[in-house]
Amino acid sequence: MEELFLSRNFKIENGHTLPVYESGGGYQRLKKALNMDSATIIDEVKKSNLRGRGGAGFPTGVKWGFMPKESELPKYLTVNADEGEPGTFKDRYIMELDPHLLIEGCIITAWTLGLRYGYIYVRGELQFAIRRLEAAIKEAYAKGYLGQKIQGKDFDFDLYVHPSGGAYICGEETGMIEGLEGKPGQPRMKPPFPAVVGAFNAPTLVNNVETIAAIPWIIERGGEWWASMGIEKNGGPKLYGLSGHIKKPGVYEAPSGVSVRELLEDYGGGMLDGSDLKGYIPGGSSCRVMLPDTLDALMGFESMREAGSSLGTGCITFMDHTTCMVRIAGRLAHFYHHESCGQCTPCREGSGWATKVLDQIENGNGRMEDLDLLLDICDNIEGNTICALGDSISIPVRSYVELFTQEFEDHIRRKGCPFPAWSLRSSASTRAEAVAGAE
Amino acid sequence: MALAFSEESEAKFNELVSRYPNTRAALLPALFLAQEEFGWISVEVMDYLAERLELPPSQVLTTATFYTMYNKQPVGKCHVQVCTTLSCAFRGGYELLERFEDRLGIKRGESTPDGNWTLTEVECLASCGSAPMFQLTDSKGNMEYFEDLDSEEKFETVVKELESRLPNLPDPRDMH
Amino acid sequence: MPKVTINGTEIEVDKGKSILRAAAEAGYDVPHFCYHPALSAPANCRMCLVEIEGVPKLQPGCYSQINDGMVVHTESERVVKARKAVLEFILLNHPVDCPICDQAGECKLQDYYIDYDAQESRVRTEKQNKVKAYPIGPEVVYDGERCILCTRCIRFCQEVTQTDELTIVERGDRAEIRAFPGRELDNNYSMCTVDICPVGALTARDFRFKCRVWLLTSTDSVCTGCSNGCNIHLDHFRNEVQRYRPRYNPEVNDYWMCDEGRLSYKSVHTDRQTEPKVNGATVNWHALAQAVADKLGKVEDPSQIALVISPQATCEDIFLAKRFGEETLGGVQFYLGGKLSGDSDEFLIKADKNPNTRGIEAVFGGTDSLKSFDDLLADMESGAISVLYMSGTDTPCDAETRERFVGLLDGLKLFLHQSPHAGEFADKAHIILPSCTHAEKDGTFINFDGVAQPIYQAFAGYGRSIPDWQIFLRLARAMKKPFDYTFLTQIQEEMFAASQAPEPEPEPEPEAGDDESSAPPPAE
Repeated sequence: MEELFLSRNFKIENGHTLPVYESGGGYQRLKKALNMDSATIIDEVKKSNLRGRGGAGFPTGVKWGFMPKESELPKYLTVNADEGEPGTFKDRYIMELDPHLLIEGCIITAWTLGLRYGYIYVRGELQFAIRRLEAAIKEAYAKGYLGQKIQGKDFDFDLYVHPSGGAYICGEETGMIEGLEGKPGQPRMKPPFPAVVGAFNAPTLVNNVETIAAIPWIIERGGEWWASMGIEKNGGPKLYGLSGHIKKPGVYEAPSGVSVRELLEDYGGGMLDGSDLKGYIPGGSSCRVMLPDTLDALMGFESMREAGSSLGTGCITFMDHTTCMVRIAGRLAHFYHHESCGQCTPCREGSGWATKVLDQIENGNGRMEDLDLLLDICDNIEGNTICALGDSISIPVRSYVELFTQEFEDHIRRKGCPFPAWSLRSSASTRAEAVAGAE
Repeated sequence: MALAFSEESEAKFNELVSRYPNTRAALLPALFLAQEEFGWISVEVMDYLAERLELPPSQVLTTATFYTMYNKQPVGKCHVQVCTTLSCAFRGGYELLERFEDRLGIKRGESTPDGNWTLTEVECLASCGSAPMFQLTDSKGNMEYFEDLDSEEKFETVVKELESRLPNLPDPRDMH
Repeated sequence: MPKVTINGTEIEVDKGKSILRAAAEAGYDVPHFCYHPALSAPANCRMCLVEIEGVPKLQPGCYSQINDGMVVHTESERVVKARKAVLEFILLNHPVDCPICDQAGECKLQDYYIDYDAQESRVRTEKQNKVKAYPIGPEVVYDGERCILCTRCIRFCQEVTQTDELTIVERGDRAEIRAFPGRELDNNYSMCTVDICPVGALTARDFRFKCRVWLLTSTDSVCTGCSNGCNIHLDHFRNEVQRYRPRYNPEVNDYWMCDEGRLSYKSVHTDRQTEPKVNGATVNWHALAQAVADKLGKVEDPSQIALVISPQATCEDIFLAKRFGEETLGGVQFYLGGKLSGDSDEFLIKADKNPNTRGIEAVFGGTDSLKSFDDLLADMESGAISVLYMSGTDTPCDAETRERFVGLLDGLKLFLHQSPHAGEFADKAHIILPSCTHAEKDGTFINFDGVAQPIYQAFAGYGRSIPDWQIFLRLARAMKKPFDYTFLTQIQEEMFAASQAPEPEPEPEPEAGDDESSAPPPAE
């Protein structure tokens, strides 16, 4: 993209500081917003086709519309910065390199919806992001962008950073609210939804970092402009994190609806030399794995669903021909098993079971009936849990079994894994051997 | 000896509590603060926080054990946490972990007897574009990412850098 | 009222009612582990998933509320499959050690497995190891491997006792229940966690490995530990009480009882005197009655006779004691016996440690006509009392006074001791009249609140002990002034004719979904 928005300050020196941010037009959008009324702003956000960038893709303007206008308790903004889905690493860049964009977005959101307090719920591991955010919040307070009577308006808003303690499940919105309240991040039953009963029993808006970071730009240039940089129902530029067996891993900004091929070839520099694409995960490890023949799919929520997976966070992991899909499935299952909060039965027990069965196959102790068993375990978890973590294990595991059945059967027949071990194959010196070994 | 925050931590603690409508909400940041001050989250530390936040101790226990970043056992001065989730595994995460195992003479999940190092395998740290990587948490509570460690040379440079920090770090076992 | 259709049955239910309760009203049991009618519904076990038409995912019946026009299926193919799946998941890491598990026979997991799963195991992977026989409290033992993490015990401590001892540590399938290190599950009601644990994860130290539950017979009774009168299941085997369990009664004790009361069953079997004796010689009841008639008949001034009435006795016993004193002997002095007051709390435990003080009040029309135990001592010391007819071994006084009382027994002309227990009195009594405990007789207790509650006989009297009321019948007959009763019901009819309803309160219908707390063991 020629002009950058979400990543504009990423490469600018001291882009994370207030003076640099302001010199690029920062906080002018807040001033503009403070002269707009709530309904107009919500309307612009609706027009923008901005969809939740945490992975679920719920239309942001619609979500904002769910927030009650009146409330006896102060209303809360909670920004979901518990970025933990394997393969996803975009929000971290905003917080570290352009914290004021997020903060300005928070203030505009609070103004629009009458929110009194905001918490940016950052995963505790991202201490650098936390420090940058806290410094930026301090700067914003000093300039009267936060606190009481903001910019002379009858508008009070306090914003804090809340560090999580290390739990993927706090990326789930109600798990996050539990974490904010100092409890284990065990997701709540819905209804009630956070917009009605959220943090501290009050109406609470939960939005992802990237979603909120888009708000200042929508205010500046309008919802229609934002929508124009995308495809139907998917508006605006978006951050894509590319990783795996590619030449130039990293975070890139491109319009919504860009094709996977473009991202791989034009942004990611293509596959590593000697690597053939075997599959890719389009939006974090809970999405179904995709085959190379879907490379022309567009990165939109509907288009990716039609192509057989989901957009998720839009952070793509590319895997080459040396990748063992049984091992990947097992490694992912291990992750979700480790992160299952343990609250409800199917996810707590099923995640561990699937992991063990997959490990058995990988280690040469599999049986043909294990494949049906795996699919059964997935069926029995999916849809039967309190939150979506159960689905996050069953959806991908099923996809590996279904799309790479042959590979699973080979493992079982040959009583072992034909692919080189992970630890040996990645460095430059051993890479050639590894590739050779796989062929 | 009864635990107590230092004057500086006390001020931070009070500021933390002021951020929330109830004391329980301050528990996660307070646990980090306590870990920084007392080295690790022992039963005594949990008890102390329960008292300070006026919570039943069981509530502190459940939260402290649910989250992975609170060390319920003392760790080394340098706590090395190597990510081995997908993108890191593709780019040498396991190899990095093994390099540490060889270099430190311990297996993942273990600490060196001198109390300098603890090596842990962890899940995705949102650094997939700069894999392989590890996170360092030192006994003063500082966290740092070391990324793109795809060669022996880079690994050695980082380890030497960390070794030079060791003399200035307190041993968490002695911190309370 | 909203109308819902459950498995084709249309019923009207109160707004806000959960599907699980509504289904129970319609006659369908929805299986569940984590849901308990007295606790909040976390919907974590997923056993009660039901199908609601128009809702894509299955929903937990315990949490989802009914809406007007809702069409619910609790036995559809999808529902049954999900149930089976949940059971398979639960059993994945469960040790399946039923043969050595105390819960076996009254285990929901066992029951539901038979009902809904009953398939061969597909598990080929290793099970998670967790803590075994962990002393989580002085009265309760925890088995982490059997635990299904339903959190009933945690919620009990949070919501009922509000003592917050228990919580979950760690997460995922590594999670276990724990108290804070150095503290324990130690509250007055800790053993209720054993009742509500749907599996064998929490067991009572007292009952562990004592008796298979299918050997137990259960009799409805009332705890005699204090005047609250908690309703209990008196579970017994071979003429021995094995345990008490609280019996649901929303008017009195809901689903709960205190630990002290629960363990008070032990007194039934300790220090029993079982043979009628006259001056140390064992005799039969006939000979004993003759001897008593003879001796009491010789007392010239009945006001020299003290008759101690115990609030540990049933209304029927007290009624007969009163008539025996007033009519058979005529003009005796009545004194109030029983236990000394003790600790109380805001919940179930009452300071009055006698189950039937209100029974005495009912029979005597208040307690004015009874003199105090202190008066008894004074009257014995002054010689105003020379004959003592003592009922029970309890004395409402401190240890020092009791010692003084025991000392004064030597000065009596005649000492009759009517009690299930020997106490320090057996050696001093001229006449021993062995009576039954509450486990061995029918009767009525009136609790502190005025609720008359029946107790039922669980097994025959120990040795040759008989109920107090029968003793009085025998003595009256021997004294040629027989009462006109043969059966207890006749006494009850007469007793309650003028005052309260003679019919003891029927047991209230348990709330929907309550099936563990009030269900008798399968043996019954």
